[in-house]
Amino acid sequence: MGEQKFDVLPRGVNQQAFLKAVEAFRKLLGDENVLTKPEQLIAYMKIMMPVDEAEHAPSAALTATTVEQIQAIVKICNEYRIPIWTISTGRNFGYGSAAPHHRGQIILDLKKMNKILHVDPELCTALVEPGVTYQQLYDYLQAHDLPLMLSMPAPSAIAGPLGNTMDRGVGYTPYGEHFLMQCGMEVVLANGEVLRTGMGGVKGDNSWQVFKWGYGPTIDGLFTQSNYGICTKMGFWLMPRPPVYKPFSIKFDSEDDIADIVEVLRPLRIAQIIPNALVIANALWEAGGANVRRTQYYEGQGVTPDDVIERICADKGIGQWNVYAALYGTREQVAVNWQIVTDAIKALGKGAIITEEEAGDTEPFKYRAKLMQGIPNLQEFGLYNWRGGGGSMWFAPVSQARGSETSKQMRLAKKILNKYGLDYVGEFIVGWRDMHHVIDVLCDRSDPAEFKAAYACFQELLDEFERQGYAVYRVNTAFMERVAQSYGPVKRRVEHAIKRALDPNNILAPGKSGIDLETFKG
Amino acid sequence: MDAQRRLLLKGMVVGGLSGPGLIGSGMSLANDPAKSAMHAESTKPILALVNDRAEYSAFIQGVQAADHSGSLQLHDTSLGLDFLLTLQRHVQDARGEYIVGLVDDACGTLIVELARAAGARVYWLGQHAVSLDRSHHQLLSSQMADGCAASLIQQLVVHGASCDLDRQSAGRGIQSSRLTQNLCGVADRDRGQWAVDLGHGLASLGRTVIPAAPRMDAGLMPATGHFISFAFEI
Ligand SMILES: Cc1cc2nc3c(=O)[nH]c(=O)nc-3n(C[C@H](O)[C@H](O)[C@H](O)COP(=O)(O)OP(=O)(O)OC[C@H]3O[C@@H](n4cnc5c(N)ncnc54)[C@H](O)[C@@H]3O)c2cc1C
Repeated sequence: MGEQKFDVLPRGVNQQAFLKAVEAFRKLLGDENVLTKPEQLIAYMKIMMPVDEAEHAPSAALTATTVEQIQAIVKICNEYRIPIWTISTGRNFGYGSAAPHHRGQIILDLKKMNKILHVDPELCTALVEPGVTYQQLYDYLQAHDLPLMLSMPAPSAIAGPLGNTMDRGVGYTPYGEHFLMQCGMEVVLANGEVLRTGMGGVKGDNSWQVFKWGYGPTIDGLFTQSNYGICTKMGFWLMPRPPVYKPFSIKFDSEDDIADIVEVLRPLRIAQIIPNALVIANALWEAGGANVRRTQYYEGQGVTPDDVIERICADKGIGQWNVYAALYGTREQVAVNWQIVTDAIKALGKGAIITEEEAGDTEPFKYRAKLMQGIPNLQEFGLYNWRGGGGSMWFAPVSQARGSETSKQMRLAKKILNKYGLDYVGEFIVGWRDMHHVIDVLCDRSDPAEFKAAYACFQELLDEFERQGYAVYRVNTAFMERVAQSYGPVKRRVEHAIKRALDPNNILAPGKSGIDLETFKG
Repeated sequence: MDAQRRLLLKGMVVGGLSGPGLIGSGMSLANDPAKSAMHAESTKPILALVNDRAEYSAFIQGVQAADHSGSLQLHDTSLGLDFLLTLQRHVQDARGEYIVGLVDDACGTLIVELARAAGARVYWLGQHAVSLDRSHHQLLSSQMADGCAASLIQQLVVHGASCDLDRQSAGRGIQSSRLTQNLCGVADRDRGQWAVDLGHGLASLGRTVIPAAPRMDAGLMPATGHFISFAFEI
């Protein structure tokens, strides 16, 4: 092969050193697994944040198929000081997609490591490789007639449990807090050693997927949202499919109802009457899920006026707030819990309950019901057509599950978004005692003014929320350093001390969650 | 079927589907045998994807008008899981085919991801926001699509619509180029011309010089709204 000149190089690496590293990768993986041509890399550059693609352009992408190959890859990376950004299924839309944290990093794409290694129908556990998608697992359970249920994020069909859990994502079943249900990891460290967490290090052990803690410090969490290792296997728990599943929605007509909704639902959630990660979605989120496009109702610029939103609600049978929850269990259990839920709503004196029978085939009920039952679909991508233009960043502050907090956060977010001409498209995902307040900051990336406004808006959201004592649980690659600052200097020093110990050459995903030995000045 | 779509389908042969069969309407488009002096690349089959709405007709007109001797198939896209899983199987299994398209944001995001996962060579990604008085185009493309980019830019200038175009060209250090044009009083037909030019350009992938696309058929609806365009090879 003739000498290739590379357009994009990793930080501090020259053409010659990079070429040597690429040659070593080619020798190890074969040409077809070392992608350096622009047309092989463009798809990795499709980002949704309002920043230039060039800022997140990879210098190359590698695909690996074995743990041994990954061990050899990190060896080469150490030798040539090449940073690698690992993705599993790579569908991190709104958080950076498949693109690296910053320009020049090599992507390590584990999509080809896609074996379902084990599913135990009695203990209800699974062990998978990084490239396994939820759809693949779902098909496997169906094909083997296993009465188990998955919990998945909305891009279910194409996303994967390993990548989603590594970024501490969420789903909508009772197992919706995915990291809580993770059990056992295999991780390739920066020095090439392979670590198994929990019981995984014990010779001959067979309880790796059933007992999380093992012995001594429990370290699984250290590898999530971080850059301390490359996860090559992950175990997690599956929920037994219940005999009866009863999804329902509760429609509320006023934006001011959010506080009351949370107050009435929290006790039911904490007591596990409603056991799933239920959702409270606002009108515009619902509009996206119901395939509504803004231009069908409003051709103007800027924020969608309230009267337009009201018209959409009336036309589509959407509430200003829409709760989606479900009951799971035997017929008797579900009947008892249903009585408790309906009594609570009756006592509240507002909110219209909609059952599956009443909703029929309508969206967004249909796709929400599927998600709460662990059935893959892609309907929520309709959000991208609401405004259009390819811009999306999730702003996801954590909130207490307390009515006064949620309404305070909602008003603050709406005020800031509207100031920049953007809509409040938000939902609360109710965890065990917290809420992930997830807002899709949607913008038109092709409109230079909106591009700038969306970036400034996101900055202000982070700043203002921080001022009020709030921070996000996860963020896109353009804002990782900023968010790390919210969590305080001591945490950052500890994180960097661990990084220095485990990855002194800073080769694993520098910049992830603000951890980067080269730029940290702590 | 609305009038626009009837117009679009006029003259097309509804053909059998390759592979496991894509969901939605599939049409083999008859090519003009007179257009034979072609670029070597153009013998590869083309699969053109659009949403099933009238405003995509101009893009299809452009695709169909390109000099291309390989087979040409058209498919509707949707957010439905069946369609996407079938397309996923198709991009994983088929080889030596160009897939081009103009679709809405939701479908575009998913299709480009399927292309990445299948290891496709992606030559063109476009984001288009078009209103009656102005259009924005954001392009990310490789050398293989230089001709298409040049022809789209030239046609935007010739047809005189107000526009902003921002192109990042991967392959030469990711160069950026910009075009801003402010013109008013443009006829409807000219406003819709960009989609014909784009379809024509993408279906002529690999050519450095692309002849002008035909004028948009009278009666077609100018494409307004938000779109993603793409061209990749599997
Ligand atoms: C419409 C829509 C709805 C969404 N809804 C949800 C939702 O309900 N819940 C939710 O959580 N998200 C949601 N998302 C965001 C996102 O798409 C999902 O979280 C998705 O699961 C992430 O992509 P992935 O699973 O392919 O993981 P990947 O993209 O493969 O991984 C995510 C990140 O984890 C790290 N990582 C991945 N693999 C490894 C590894 N092997 N070793 C070390 N680090 C690794 C990397 O930093 C990577 O960027 C939504 C997105 C859209 C567009």
